Amino acid sequence: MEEFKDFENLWKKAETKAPTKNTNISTIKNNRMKLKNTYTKGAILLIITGIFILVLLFNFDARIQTTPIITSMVIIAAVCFLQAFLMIFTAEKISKIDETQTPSFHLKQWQNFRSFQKKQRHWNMPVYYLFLSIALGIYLYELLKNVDPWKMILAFVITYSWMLFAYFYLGKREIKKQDAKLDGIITELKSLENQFH
Amino acid sequence: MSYDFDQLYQEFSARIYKLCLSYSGNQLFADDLHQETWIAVWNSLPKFRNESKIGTWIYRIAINTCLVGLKKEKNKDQNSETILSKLIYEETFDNSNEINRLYECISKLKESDRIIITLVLEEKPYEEIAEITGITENNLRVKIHRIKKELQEIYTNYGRI
Repeated sequence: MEEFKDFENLWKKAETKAPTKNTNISTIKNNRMKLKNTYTKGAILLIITGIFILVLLFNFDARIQTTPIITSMVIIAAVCFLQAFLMIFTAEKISKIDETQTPSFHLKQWQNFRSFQKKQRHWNMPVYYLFLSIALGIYLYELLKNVDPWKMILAFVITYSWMLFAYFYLGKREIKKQDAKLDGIITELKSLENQFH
Repeated sequence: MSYDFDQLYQEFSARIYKLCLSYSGNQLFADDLHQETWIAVWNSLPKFRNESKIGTWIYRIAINTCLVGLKKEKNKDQNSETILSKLIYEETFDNSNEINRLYECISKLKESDRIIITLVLEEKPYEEIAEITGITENNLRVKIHRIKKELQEIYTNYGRI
């Protein structure tokens, strides 16, 4: 192969057969749609959980339906709905990515989405833990207000120790891992995008 | 003007598959990329507004699918399934070893270069390559000159390393 012309001739002669068309093409999802579906399914599950919590609340015995119990359960349901809303918003962002644009623009869209994911993870976790701690605190106080104070304190210490450990150790570690992964993806997308200038 | 999906598949699938093969250099990945492309075409076809040629539009989808599709596959590279698929591909795929060698050599180029050179080999006019890739024609000419040289070097040195 001395000349580029030889490559052109070889290319023309190649009898490369494409795979036959999949008859179920309308039902198969591509990677982008699968990613979107993960968020949509997550949102649906959270909405069902929120509704379940509210149904449970209305079916509680009247003696348990005190203001603090109602408040805490409503907060937990609200957290579920907010999280679901966020997931739907994310799914919408994915569905707006347009594969028919120029490569540079398309890669930019993915970069923006990954940056959004990174930012969202940073403020989403503290808000989630804050609401959950408040709701759990109210719930525990109401449930245990008639037991010995030391038992109540013990329950609070165990619950909040676990939450602090989950937030400051497990959560932060996970965020760090996810950040590294997302940074890697963003860098790769940027370097690909730069190739098209 | 509306297009029939089956007709488009018949007309473009072989060319798109060649693009996927030269981009990935591997039949297993190429199959995935090819299928992903046609799912995207199927889903986007109702939104096609004749703002560009249908071929240009399909190529863009294929290129974008390749660009974001292979990252995921890279991580799986070199597992036993991939090695096996490569062997099968080398043994049975296509009747010419030379074209397989060419696909593999193209896949060793930089991502954008793989796409550009495939479009050149498809004998697309520069104007259309510029429209598909979003690169200016002047810039494209410089790039093509460099890629041709690089490809010839890789092809010549194939198997020596």
